[in-house]
Amino acid sequence: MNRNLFALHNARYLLKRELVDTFVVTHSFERLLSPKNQIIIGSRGSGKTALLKVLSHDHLSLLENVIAKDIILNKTYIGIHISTKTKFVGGLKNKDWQNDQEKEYHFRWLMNIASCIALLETFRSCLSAYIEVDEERVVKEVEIVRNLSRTWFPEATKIVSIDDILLELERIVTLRSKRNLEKKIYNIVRDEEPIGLTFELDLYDPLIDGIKIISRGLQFPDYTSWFVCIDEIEMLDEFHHRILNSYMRANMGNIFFKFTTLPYCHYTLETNLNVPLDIRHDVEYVYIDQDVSFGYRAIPNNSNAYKLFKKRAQLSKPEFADYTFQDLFGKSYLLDNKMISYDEILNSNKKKLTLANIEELVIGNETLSLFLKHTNEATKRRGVELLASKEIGKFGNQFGRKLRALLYLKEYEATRTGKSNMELYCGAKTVINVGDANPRKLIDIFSEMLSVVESGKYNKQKSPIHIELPQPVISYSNQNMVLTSISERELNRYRIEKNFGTGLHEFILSIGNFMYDHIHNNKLNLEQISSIEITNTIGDIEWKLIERAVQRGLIYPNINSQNPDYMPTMEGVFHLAFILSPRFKLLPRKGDSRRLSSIPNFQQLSINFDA
Amino acid sequence: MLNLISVRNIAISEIKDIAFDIGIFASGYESRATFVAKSIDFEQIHYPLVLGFKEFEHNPVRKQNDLFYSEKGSKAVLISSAEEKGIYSELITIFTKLDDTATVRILVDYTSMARLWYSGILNFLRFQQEKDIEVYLTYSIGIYEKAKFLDYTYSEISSLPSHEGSLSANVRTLLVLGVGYSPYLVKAVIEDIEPNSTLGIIASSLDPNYSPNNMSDIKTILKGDINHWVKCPIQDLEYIFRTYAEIVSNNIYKRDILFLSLGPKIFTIASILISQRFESVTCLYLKQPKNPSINIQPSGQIVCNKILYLKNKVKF
Amino acid sequence: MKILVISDLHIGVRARTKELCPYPEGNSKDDKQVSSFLRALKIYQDSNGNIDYLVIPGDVTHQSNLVEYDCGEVFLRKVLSELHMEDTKVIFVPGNHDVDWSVLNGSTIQENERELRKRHKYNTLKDPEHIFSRLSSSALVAEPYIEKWEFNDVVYFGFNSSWHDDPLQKSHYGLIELSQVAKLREMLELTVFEDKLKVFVVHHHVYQYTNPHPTWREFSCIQNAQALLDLLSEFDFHFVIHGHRHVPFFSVINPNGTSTINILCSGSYSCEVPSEIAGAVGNLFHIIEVNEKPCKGKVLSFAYDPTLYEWIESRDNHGIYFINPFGNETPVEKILDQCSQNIERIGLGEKVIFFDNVVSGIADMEYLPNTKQEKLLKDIEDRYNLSRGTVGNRIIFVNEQE
Repeated sequence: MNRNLFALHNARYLLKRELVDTFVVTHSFERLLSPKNQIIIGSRGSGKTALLKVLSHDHLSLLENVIAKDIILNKTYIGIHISTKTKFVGGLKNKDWQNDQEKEYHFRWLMNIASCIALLETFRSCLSAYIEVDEERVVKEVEIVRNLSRTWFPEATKIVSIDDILLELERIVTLRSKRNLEKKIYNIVRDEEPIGLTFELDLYDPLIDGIKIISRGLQFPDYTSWFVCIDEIEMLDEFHHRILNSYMRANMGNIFFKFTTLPYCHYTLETNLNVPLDIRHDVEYVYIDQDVSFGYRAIPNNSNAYKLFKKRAQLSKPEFADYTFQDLFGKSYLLDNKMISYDEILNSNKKKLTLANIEELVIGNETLSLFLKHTNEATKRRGVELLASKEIGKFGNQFGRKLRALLYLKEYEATRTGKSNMELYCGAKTVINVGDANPRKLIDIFSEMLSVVESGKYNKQKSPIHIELPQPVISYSNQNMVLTSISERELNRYRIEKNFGTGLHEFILSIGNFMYDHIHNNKLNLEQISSIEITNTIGDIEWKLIERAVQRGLIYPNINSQNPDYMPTMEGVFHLAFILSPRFKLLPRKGDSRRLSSIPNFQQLSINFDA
Repeated sequence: MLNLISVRNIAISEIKDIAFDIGIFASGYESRATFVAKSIDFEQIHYPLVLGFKEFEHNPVRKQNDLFYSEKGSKAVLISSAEEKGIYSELITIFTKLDDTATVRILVDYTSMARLWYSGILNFLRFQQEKDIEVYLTYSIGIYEKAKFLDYTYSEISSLPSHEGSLSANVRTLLVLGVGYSPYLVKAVIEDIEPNSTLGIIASSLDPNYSPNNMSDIKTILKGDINHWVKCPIQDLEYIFRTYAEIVSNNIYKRDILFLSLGPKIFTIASILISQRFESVTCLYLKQPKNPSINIQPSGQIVCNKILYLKNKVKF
Repeated sequence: MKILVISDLHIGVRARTKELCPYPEGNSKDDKQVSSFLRALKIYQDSNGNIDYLVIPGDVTHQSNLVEYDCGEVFLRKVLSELHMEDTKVIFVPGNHDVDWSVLNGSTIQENERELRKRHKYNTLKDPEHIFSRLSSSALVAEPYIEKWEFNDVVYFGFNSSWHDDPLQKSHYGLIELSQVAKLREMLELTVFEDKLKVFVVHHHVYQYTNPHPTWREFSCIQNAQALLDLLSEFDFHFVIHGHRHVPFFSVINPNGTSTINILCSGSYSCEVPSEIAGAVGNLFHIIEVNEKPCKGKVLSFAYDPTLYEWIESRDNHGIYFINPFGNETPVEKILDQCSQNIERIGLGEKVIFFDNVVSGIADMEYLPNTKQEKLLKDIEDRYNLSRGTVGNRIIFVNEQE
């Protein structure tokens, strides 16, 4: 009889499968498959956690990938995934009364327990990957578990399975927490048997013992390296980083560390060994934001953004899985290069044209008439000079391509009436650019786009007035609506922010409005402003705002191509995330930059910084 | 260690005649801090204990509150809102003086208490061994000015001491979030915690601070952030406790469960009690700057609950 | 044969869902319990075939108001429609809450008025406008308070154990007078059972359970239960299904040493769980699957998960295990001997001995009640000095001497 009827799915397994099946192998991921200490740095949604999870044995063993299969088969690397979840961190930070030494003991103790729990999950995965016959697997589990148990809990008996060990660890943690409370209430240490003594040993000692026992039990080769993967170390303090750093500095044999953190959140290079970490020698940074492979590419198979879409669609919305981005979103009116017609100018009989001639000639030519209407004096003068002498090529190079989209954007914004349905933010290239090469933002966009088609709430609309295209699967106006609402939501997401209150939101608002004003409340010069420039005169609090904005994926630093893993500090050029462009009516592409100090509203920001 | 046996809603009239062994109050910067003390017969309390915030000693409302308690013969013991240790020594002293009764009756007016205080008190009581304990919780409902609740900030999310929960191998986390009044604060908190799923606990219509309109606004803003909504009557601790217990018992074997309330204290109380029953759940709280400029007046309504701790073991 | 059991609905203010609370109080309640129940029944029937009977052992309503019965009828119609079941297949006996409290609550200590009021206490239940009046039949709300339902494969006897109840009683225990036992005997003697399943349905408990909670005293047992059980045992009854106590329990008893009776204490389908047991007991329904004649099968229990709005396989923290097998009456000592032969064949030298292998070839192990399996496991541990454990889904023994 079918007993699965009401069974809850094995969520753990499903989750794993889903993650692995939708995972897109990137260059950064391949970089991680090496025996090195590495710290993965990326903003919210850049896919750090996914990278680290897939690195762990229980995920990697499910990944359909040649390199991964080889690693699993040969047992080259075994990844252990430790999550410093909120509850873990909450327990570290609520003990204000502890001195540094007690803090270190406590951290060590928790980390040892957490790493052993993680090792057990890895062990479970190894058992199912390497032993096919059910009964043999059980026998092996019991054998190794008994060895682990003897090492970790010399006094406990009746522990035969991985689940038994997990229960025992849980019991120890709970008991210790009670002991701590008792200690705190009565201010005394009772003379009782210690709890979980093994886990008070040096950091990673129980883990290393466990690794040895499992390696021996499963007969792993000598060359096997173990990756200790710790997620979200930004949740820890500088104090804890210092401890973690010490172990990266020391030689740990076949154990390597892989951490993830937010930009600017590897708080120190100090160690407890009198020698600080040497970046590159002891540990390598891997910056994963702005990965161009997640940007727009004309050939779908070269685009990781497309793979990201396709893998998810195949699983949950197969009816869309065979569409390309072109099919789904069509052409991008704002970003695709479009020929500008100069026929009126070229066909004129006159050799040299006057401004009046030009004004008359271009009446029916939208681009050129907008050029005359919206550019500032200097730009207009230079442009008119070129047009007057029919130097069309030069005009195109200097103004045409760059300015065309800006002109339309400005015209749209200037003439739109309250409810007019704008069809600006649409088309494959725009849609993908707005995703900032950030997997989470892209997925958010895709899922919203598909739900709009599905809900059928919005009728298919006619193509934008200016271009004749076969209708994309998702109508242009729906795309515009989705991107605009996602953009608004992204800005609102950080209306309140830890330590900053409403400060971060106000900060981004002042930058975005400044950029908006530049286009929409002024005559145009050649470019929009898309970036802010920070000089080393920036104040600490302002810099902290910049850091937070980078962490949240609201601005991105311009990366030095010689040194792509290094983040600029207290200076540099940062562009506003393209996801905010529909909100501030900007083009989702890079333009000019301005100094932060030149943004008028920024001076008046009331930052209630409280750190 | 005692066992949490039951959580009941009772009427204020039911506590008016009880002779309490201990009564614990807080003197803060809100007018309502003394409302319960004024509503009952203070003489009936054998050992009153008044806790005063170290932080706001010179606040004028605070001074009035201090004056009220000292006229009753109880000088406030000064304690920082960020710690609870000082309460323990006070309680230990009182407990050694208690008569030899089988059951200790304690009134705890948590209206103006810091979270760490009332969680510390409840943990201390549960930690007793000798006597059964009846705790009478009181809360004086305030008159709020809505606008003041919109601009929240916080500096950290932390666990209540001894409510850290256990470390487990669960990959997924469920956040049970008392949604409160500022949806943007909810967003920030979810962004910070990144749970796999979030259950939004929203007060049902009885809460005077919600109108049907702003309730639907909140839900609209939080679309996509909250996976399920659960309504709880705001003055019904019994109901909230029961709901929380069911949430825990249905999820505990597959998820780490985190409780956090951004709204009324009653939700925090419920989560503390739940984690006394289920030790592996975690109670979080936000470290937030206090705003002594908000002097909340009592509305006249008092929510009362009776919590029973017994020596008898109950298997859960 | 499959029997769906739902009990103690308490339709009214104490029901956990708006769908079963026809009052304004309902507005703050869950509103998906019933719809998800219907979905669960559909899923179950789609993969396991149709359910044949529905048993409701009392406390359909909380206060026996007509609006509560109306609400109950809407509910029951939906359930029957989902089950594709005629209402003749519904076995319902009233509980102590299915009496009109508005009539009883006015009771004084004057005997004559009390009696008058008692006589009218079933007025609302007997109201012909709603389905429960027909289901409970006149026999259950008047002497002898016994009813019989006969089908091709099963015979149910129902008894109204609250017939005597009134609000002045301190605890609402059940009662069966010896005269009623005698009447029941008469009816049993007149019944041709052949090899049909025999089920007794009643609201109150037929034996004294342990106190479910340190602050609760158990006073719910039917007075004269021993006489009742003796009679049921004499007639080889297979099942007693009862409600009342909202803490579910499955037990297998052997009252007179000759035959075994399976007792399902159903818990509550939809009454709010009090704080004393919140988190340890859920709202439940059960499906009794009888796979082999006369009575071998499994009780499956499902609990409501209010966070997912779904009925899920019950776990220990819902008060009852998902599967409770019944029907294997072989004494544990005998099974142990059979196991010993297997163990000796396997050899104690093995590091790990699988329980599957230890019981291989032994008949009807899938119908061995959980309590007996537990005893068997313990006996094996003791006899061979082994440690027991579970790896994945498999029970194993590990040799301590290893």
